[in-house]
Amino acid sequence: MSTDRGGGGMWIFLTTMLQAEARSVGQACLTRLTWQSAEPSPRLTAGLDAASLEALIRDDRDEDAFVILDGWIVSRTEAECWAMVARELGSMPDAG
Amino acid sequence: MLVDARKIEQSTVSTHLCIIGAGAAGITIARQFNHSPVDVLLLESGGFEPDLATQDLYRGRAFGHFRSGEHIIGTAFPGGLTDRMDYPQASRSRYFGGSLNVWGGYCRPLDAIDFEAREWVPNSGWPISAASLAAFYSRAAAELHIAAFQEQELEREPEPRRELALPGSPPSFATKMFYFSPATPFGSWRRNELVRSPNIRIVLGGNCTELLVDETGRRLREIQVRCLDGRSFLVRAAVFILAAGGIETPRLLLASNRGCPRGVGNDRDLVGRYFMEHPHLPVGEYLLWADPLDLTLYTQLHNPVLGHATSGVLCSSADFQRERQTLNYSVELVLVPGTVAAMAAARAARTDAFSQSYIRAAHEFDAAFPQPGRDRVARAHGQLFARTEQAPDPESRVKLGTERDALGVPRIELHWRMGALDHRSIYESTLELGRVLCRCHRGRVRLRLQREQAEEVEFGAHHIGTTRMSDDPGRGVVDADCRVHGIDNLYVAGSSVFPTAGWANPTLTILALALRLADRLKARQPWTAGGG
Repeated sequence: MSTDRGGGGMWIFLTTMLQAEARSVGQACLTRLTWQSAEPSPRLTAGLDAASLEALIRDDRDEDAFVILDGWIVSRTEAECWAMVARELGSMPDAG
Repeated sequence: MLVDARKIEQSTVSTHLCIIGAGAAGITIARQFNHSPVDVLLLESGGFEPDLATQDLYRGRAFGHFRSGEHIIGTAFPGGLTDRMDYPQASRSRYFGGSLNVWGGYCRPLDAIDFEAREWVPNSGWPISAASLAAFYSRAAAELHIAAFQEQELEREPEPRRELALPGSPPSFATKMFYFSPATPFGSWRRNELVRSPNIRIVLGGNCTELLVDETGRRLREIQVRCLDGRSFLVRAAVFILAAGGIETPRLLLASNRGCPRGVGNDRDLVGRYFMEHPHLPVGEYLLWADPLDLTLYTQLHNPVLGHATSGVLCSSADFQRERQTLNYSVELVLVPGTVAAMAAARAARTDAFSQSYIRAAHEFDAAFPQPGRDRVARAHGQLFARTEQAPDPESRVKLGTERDALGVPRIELHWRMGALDHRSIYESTLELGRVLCRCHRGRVRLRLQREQAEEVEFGAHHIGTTRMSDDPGRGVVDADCRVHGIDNLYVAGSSVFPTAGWANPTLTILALALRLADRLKARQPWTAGGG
């Protein structure tokens, strides 16, 4: 029942988004991600840089403006925020 | 009255009503005749306790979408379930009380849409409506010592058990409740009452091995009964009810092929076809941005108002099923440890019975799954576990194999199939739940499924559809009264008569149909023993 199987980074992002519950989710992501990455666990998914995220969004688009990103069902706006954060950071840090 | 089949001296035993199988349906029907002028013989293969030699009569071969279901089977059956080939004997229980001896108490009526002929579900549609079964559902609930289901069922849940309100117009998901019967193990609950009955004979250790029709082929004259010690005799009755379960009932009909070459009631080659299970499978993860207390409704807890345990599940609505042409679907919100502890802590100040039972359950849960540090995640998350409907498919079926059991009856081959509609429904329903949670900012879903993925799934040990009900003999084995088409005095009771399965566990519907059949037979006059 663990949620820490592969793709835990997305789980952290998702947590961040849900905590933000605001339009400025991108900024909240950055803040939260910095905080999370200092913790020993859970780990982040390595290798999902901006290009990978954008490719995922582009290739796995679902109807009704939702996409499936690393398994998570999210709005396109939310997914694009994730891509923006990844661009800001250059790549996703691996805290594990 | 209790009789050991191995001590019966006569070559032929006569009765008014012979019920083959003392499981949920058979016991329920027998009780309706208690203290009546009707002489009832309730024939059971096993005794009051399980034994390996009797259980072995269930052994067979199974093919299809089986996956080990340890959480369901566990230690309830000798040997557990380590291979799909074990399914025929490990998913059933052959002694007084039947498979309800290892039942979890899950009760829920089928939905109205389950009875409808849906154009996107081939072979769907019952010859009776949900409304015509409503009164029998209420009586079945009383039989199982639970409250009757009502339209506004969520209003009978105490605070803080609140529905996870999901938006939509019309909504695509809603919460429905399971009621948990305390009448388990079922056989023990009913044993003494039937043993003391003046007109019901419980015959233990007697296995029906063949149904014998008369020279017209339209009437069952008698049945052959054999014991594992070699003893055998015939039972003659005016009326026979086959209540042996969704695998054994078609097995007996097919194996009775001396007077009817294709088997009794099988002129149209329908017996054994349309076998359905309730696919059980983890479909993803959920994360809810909500007070964890909102999920107490979705945890199995004692409801002091109703006097028994209840638990909520999220279900796809009839509107969604019609619009997306999917099958019926439900999903449990399985919590991860830590969340439960946080919920318990929040309720610790409460001393009422509900809170106390909840806190006890929480501690037991966390003790079983210790995960230090998890409780710092102050939100609800866990696994989505689906329990779904599958479409009736004539190639999903019970057949006779070449091997025979200790009594000479051919063992079964079970071919369980899941089709494209089954898989698409599971995928699209889970996807919709994710969309809804995302739209209302209540949470997120992570899919575990691939589109159209044909994966192995777990099961509910529910055997459904193999003698389906239809007014048309070309489309069903039994008619709307559960009488076998073409055989005047043979009826079937149990989930094998369901034309479709819905997602809900079948027990409550089995009892409702059993009560309905008993009412019809009680009105029958006159009763004469041995085929009069």
